[in-house]
Amino acid sequence: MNNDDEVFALLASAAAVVPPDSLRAKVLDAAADVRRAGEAIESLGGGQSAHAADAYVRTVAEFSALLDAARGDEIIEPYGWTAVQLVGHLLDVDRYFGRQLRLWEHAIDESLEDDHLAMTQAAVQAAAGADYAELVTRWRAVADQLGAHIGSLDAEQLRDRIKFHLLDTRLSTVLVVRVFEVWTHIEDLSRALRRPPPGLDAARLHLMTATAVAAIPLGMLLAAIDAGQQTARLVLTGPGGGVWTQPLRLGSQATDPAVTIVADALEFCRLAAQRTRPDELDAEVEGSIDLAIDVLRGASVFAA
Amino acid sequence: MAMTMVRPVKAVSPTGPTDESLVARIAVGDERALQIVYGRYSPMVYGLARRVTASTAHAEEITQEVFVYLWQNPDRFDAERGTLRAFLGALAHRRSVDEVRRNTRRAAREERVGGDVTNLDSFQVGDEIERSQTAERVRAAVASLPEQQREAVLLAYFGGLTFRQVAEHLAIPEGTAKSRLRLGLGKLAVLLEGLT
Repeated sequence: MNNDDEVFALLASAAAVVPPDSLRAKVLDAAADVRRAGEAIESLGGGQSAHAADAYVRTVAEFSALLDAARGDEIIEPYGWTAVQLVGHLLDVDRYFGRQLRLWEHAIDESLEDDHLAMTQAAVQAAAGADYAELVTRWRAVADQLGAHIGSLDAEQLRDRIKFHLLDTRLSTVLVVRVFEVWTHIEDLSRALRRPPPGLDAARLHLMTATAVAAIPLGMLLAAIDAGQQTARLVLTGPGGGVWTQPLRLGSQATDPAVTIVADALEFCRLAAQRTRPDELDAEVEGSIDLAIDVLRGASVFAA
Repeated sequence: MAMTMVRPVKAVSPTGPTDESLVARIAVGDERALQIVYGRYSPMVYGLARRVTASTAHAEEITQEVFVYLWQNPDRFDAERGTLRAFLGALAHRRSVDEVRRNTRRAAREERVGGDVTNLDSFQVGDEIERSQTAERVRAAVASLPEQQREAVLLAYFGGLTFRQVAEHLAIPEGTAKSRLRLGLGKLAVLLEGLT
């Protein structure tokens, strides 16, 4: 495009004529014929679908590779842990995950099972004095066993239900939640190491955004926010994005959206992982701002 | 101490979402964003196509093609290189000129470009205040051009003519036609500076 195009377009604006009303429907129908509404273009991951088990295994592998760049004493925000404590946290979570998958025994304080961070607090404290390389080796051994098990499951087994913290849901959903968790640790550790995090492909990100949007009613329930029978429309832009019409109460049916929230898909995932606050999200809202903030509070549901 | 940039959740502007935001929404399949873009720019696209092709049927076809192209290829629009208006305008113009050049009724076209195309009074404007204000300013800018430059600009754009065809039509050398067009566009760019 050049300056001539801008001048010409202004000339064209001066010659504008409202087209026949019937043309609008023809245009929208023709558009829907070439790409259906809600489907992203190919370069943003449209038409691709990531497999939850693959996404989990790949994300864990990326975290494992990143650990080689750390010494163990780096301070990692937001919790102020050192890198070795982060590994201690993840080792404890993975042991718990294996326990829930009935792969091994692992003692937990059941009174803390609903709190992802509190449940691993003792392990995090114990890891403070641990040898980094030795703890990484122990974590990798556990992560490898989990990865091998998950990689061996068929589609039906991935639909089996599992209890994981507050969730009682399909294993495939838990895997996506764990992708969220591990990806968030990758971002935290990369920041501490002052290096860019490994890129997240659009198909994996789409899996995460879809799961995060679907979890909004649960998040709102946990945050004691009742939006009644209202529905929100979420338009998440960029790679991994899409369009969702999401009822805000568990089990309710979609109604005409009371609010449309437009945000970047990756930033929305950071919100879901509690690394961006709802009032910090760079989001554009059509409809009630208050309802939008409530929806975003509900979306901020995955502790990592 | 590191600064944290707070970018609060915000209501959409009273003038509606930005074009850049709308194209990003179209890329992820937001049909409402396409509807908004259509509402915003279909009069320009349709009016331009109708003026260049002198055919309402072709103008409808071209309008459909332009918006479907945007829906299919939103990543072809680069906000750093120009406005969405210019992007859609260039698309509509190119398709309109292609249509005219396919049109076998060349004689009828020749007759048309000599009359209606260079007549400023035939500019039709929408009834929205903002668009009318834009239109009035554009009309005033075009009217302020020396007649020879105005003719060259309007023949080339709305007539869909090449430099050579403009030269033939005005019975002037091709270099002169090119020079009049460049001078006219240069003046318009200055006169229309800041108009969005």
